[in-house]
Amino acid sequence: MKIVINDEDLQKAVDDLKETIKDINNESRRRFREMFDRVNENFMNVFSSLFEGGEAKLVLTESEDLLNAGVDIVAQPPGKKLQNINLLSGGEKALTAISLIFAIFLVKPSPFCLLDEVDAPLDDVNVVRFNNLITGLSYDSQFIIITHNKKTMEIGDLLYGVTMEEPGISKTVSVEFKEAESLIA
Amino acid sequence: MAAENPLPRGSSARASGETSAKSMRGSGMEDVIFSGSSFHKPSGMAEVSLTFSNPKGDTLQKFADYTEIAVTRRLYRSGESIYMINKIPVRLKDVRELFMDTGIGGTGYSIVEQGRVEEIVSAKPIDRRILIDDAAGIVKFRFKRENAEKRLDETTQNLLRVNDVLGALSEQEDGLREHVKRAEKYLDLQEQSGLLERQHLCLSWHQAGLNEQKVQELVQVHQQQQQDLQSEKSVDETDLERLKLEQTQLGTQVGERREQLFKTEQNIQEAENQRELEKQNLQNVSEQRQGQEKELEELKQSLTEREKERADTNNRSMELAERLGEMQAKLVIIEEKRAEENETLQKSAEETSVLQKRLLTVHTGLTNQTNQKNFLDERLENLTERQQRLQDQQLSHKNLLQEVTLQVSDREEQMVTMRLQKEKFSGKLAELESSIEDQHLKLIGEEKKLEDLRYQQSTAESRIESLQQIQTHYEGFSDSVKIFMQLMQDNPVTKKQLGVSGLLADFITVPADTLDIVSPVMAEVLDWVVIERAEMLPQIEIFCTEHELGQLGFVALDRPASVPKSAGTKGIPLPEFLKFKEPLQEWGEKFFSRFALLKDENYFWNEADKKWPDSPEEWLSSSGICLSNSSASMGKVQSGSLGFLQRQQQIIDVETYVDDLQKKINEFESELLTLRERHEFLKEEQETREEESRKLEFALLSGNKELEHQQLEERRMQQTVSQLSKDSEGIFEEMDSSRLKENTAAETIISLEKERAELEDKTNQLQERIQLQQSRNDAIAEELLAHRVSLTETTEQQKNTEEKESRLNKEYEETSLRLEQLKTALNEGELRLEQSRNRIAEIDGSFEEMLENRTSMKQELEEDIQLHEQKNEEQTLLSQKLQERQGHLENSVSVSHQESIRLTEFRLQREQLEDQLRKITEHTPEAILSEMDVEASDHKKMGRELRSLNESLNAMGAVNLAAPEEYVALTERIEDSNQ
Repeated sequence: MKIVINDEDLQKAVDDLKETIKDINNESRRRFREMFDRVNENFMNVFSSLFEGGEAKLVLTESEDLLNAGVDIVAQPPGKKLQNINLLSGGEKALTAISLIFAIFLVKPSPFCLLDEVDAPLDDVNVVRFNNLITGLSYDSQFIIITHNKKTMEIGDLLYGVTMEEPGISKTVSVEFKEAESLIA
Repeated sequence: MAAENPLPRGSSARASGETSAKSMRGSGMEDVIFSGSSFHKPSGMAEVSLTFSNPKGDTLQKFADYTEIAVTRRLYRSGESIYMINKIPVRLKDVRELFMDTGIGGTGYSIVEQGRVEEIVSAKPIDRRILIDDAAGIVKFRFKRENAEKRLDETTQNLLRVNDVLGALSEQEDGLREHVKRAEKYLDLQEQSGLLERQHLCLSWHQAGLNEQKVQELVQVHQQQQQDLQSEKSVDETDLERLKLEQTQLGTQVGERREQLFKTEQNIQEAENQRELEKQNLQNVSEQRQGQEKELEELKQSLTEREKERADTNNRSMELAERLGEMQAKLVIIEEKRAEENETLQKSAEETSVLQKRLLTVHTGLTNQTNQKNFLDERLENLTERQQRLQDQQLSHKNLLQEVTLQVSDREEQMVTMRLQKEKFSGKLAELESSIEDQHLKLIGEEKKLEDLRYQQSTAESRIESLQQIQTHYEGFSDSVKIFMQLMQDNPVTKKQLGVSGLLADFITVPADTLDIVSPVMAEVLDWVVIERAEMLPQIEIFCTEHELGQLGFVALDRPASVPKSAGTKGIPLPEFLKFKEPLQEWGEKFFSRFALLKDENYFWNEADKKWPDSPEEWLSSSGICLSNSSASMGKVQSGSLGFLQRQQQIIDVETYVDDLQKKINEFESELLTLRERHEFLKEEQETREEESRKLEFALLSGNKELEHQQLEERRMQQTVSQLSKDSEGIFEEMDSSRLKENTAAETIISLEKERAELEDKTNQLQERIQLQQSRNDAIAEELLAHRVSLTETTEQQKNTEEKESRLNKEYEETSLRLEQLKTALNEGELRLEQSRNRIAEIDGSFEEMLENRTSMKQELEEDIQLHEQKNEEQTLLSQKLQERQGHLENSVSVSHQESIRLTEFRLQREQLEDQLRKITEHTPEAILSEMDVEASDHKKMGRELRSLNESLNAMGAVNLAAPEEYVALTERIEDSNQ
């Protein structure tokens, strides 16, 4: 009799675990739906802002379960037809991806964001828009940007340069803009 | 949590648990460790730290108390990697858990590298989803879910295992319970046996003690007897020794006599032997001679027989050779006959083989045809079934095709409607676009006008500002003039004392529209200061010196031409008043020379008279400027034309103009606003229309795709239906061809069966013929065999005869040789016989002498022997007596020894029993015996009972005595498992 009871306890534990997994799945679905909607809304705004027009949205690929659904990007830069994202130019692709990253950032800012030469494919006009967007977001997060672009360098508070005076040994030099300005004045 | 230290991309990725060397731009993780340079040693490890401030404590519970969290990774050249959080070594899993749902980490959105942008765009939708998952905090849930699933699997496995274990334990419990019962019974019996064994052992011990005592007494008796016997034995031994000595002396004497006798007999024997040897030799030689003579005779006889036999053998050999020739000739004939028969048989066999082959072919063909017919029957049945199935499929596909066709036509109608709607929208959109374009153009025109007005307004405003500036601050004049006039305005008393009236510019009026042209001509004199009296110049000079003013030009109203040249002070060049008139005049001349030119260009409009002045004087007069040298005329200028007032008026005019412009601008702006609103409205409408158009386009596109899909489906269905029809037709054709083939096969089978019957008849006939031939052939073969056997026998006989002949020849030669040898040996034997007879005669002479010596020696020896025998008898009697004593002694010793052994055995038995008792109980045997009624106890009965108990214990076989403890442990384990 005791053995049967023990078996029932274990069975109950299994059922509880299944229930827990079900709850986790439900919570995951709810959170994903909520986050997806918010990111999608931001993505549309950021995209329009970066491209000064156009439309873009995130679309869920068809799946029986929301947890297995993929996320597709539909983008229409201003003056262009709605087209496959892979047919966009390098700069457009970069701006679209940056839009998505910043859309997520607007919903859930991370302690810091490291951008490694993401502005490389952007032209001067787009670099200015990109910089404006970063300046706007930098109140909530710390941005670490690796760049060769002088305009992007101008928006930083601190500038670190990496040089190699001696072969094989890199050296960093730093400039704090405010301090430098006060020294010049 | 906020990052404080900016780090390069690789560093932060490394610290947050990056394990891919490729993302660090290295072939291996050791490549990130400093490898040294010309002046620096290589490093053994690389370390990177990422410090986060944690003022709110909004991180994992275990790190919530830290205000700063430093995540460190240290990588050694050996490949070992250490992760630390606040200098405490942790696992990679802990670091990942820390960064989970923060966006930092390998899959997070916080670290965007060069290739990541392209990766985000070109990634699969399911991979792109990870970014959203990370932001939504699902990663933690996924982690939890994976853990839960893992636990679920483990629990299920545990459940199964527990069931198995419990089942096994239950079975084990049942088995153990039986063991426990057996063990308890066994232990009970063992206890009884132990008690009985102890008592039995004690009784045995007691019995052994009594026996030991008895044997001890016996041993003492035997030891006494042995001592007595030993003393008697010693006396007898002394007598025996004496007798032995005497006997030894006699024995020596007898031995010597015997030796002499033996030598004599030996000599006699040698002589006899020699004689016998010689006799034997003689006899041998005689016998040998007789044998040789006999052999000689036999050899002679044998030689005659051999010669006869040789002649017979030769005759026989010749007969056999003749017979062999005959038989070989006959054999050739028989073989020829047999070859003929074989040839005939071969032909028949070949014919039979051909017939059999043909029969086999026919049979195979028949089997094939039958198989084919059966196969075709089956095929026909299959085809019929398949045909039926295809017809069913065709019917269902046709129904489906009809449905799809209906769907396609519906879809096409929908598409047409949508296209019409789209065209309508496109028309509306085009209208809207043209309307927006018009509005836009109009807006641009209005905006341009507004821009012009604003420009005019701003020009006028700047003019007002400029005039006001001039009015108040003498803007546009040199610094000396500006400061001087500012000082005059600030100090009206000084101004009055010095008699300063103002600047010449204040006294000149020029129409606004001609100002730009006239002012360059007049500029040279406009900043001259007008004073009332020339005598005030020295004071003015002092004032200018005090205030460090630069060069100034003065016009005195009372004395314009006669100012002394010396009137100047050091450092500041005073104006040369002598030149006062001349520049003015020069300016006047210039003015007059340019007047004609300016007049032609209608610059000098007289606003008061509303006409153009005829001469420069008239214009100057009307404008208040007098170029005469008289003070009166200058005073007229002063009183008649105040530029200040005019500028005031001018400002007012410009302000009025600005107001008008503002009104116009406002009107334009309101109009523009209306236009913009209209434009915006039109744009919004356009966007709405465009959106609708896009939606329609989307719908159209998806409709088109769906239509294409359905059309494709329809075509596919049609193809399937046509394919099914084709298949059905093919099956029909195949069925017809199969039937045709089946008929052909049936006909072929009939003809083949007929052919087979004919062939079988032929084959039977041939086989009968072959059998006859074979029987004939067999007879010939038998005959041939008999002949061959006979031939072989004859050949062998001939061979034997030849061999015998050669053997006889050889024997004949050997016999002749032996005959010669025997003759020689006979002669030698005669010689030896004579020598032996001589030697026998010599031996007979010495033999009789030796016989006499022997007789005397024998008599002496017999006497000694008699004496020796008497001594021997005495010794024997004494020895017998001694032996008897020795026997008694040995018996006594033996008995004593046996008793001693028994005593030792009893002692050992007692010791063993004591040891056994010590092993099974702590009590001494005396103590146990004291509790027992020794007299009443039956030792044998007790032994029987003990044996019976031991047998019962042995009959129980192997018993697990640890079963009760195991049962208790098992019960506890089951209880634990249940808990």
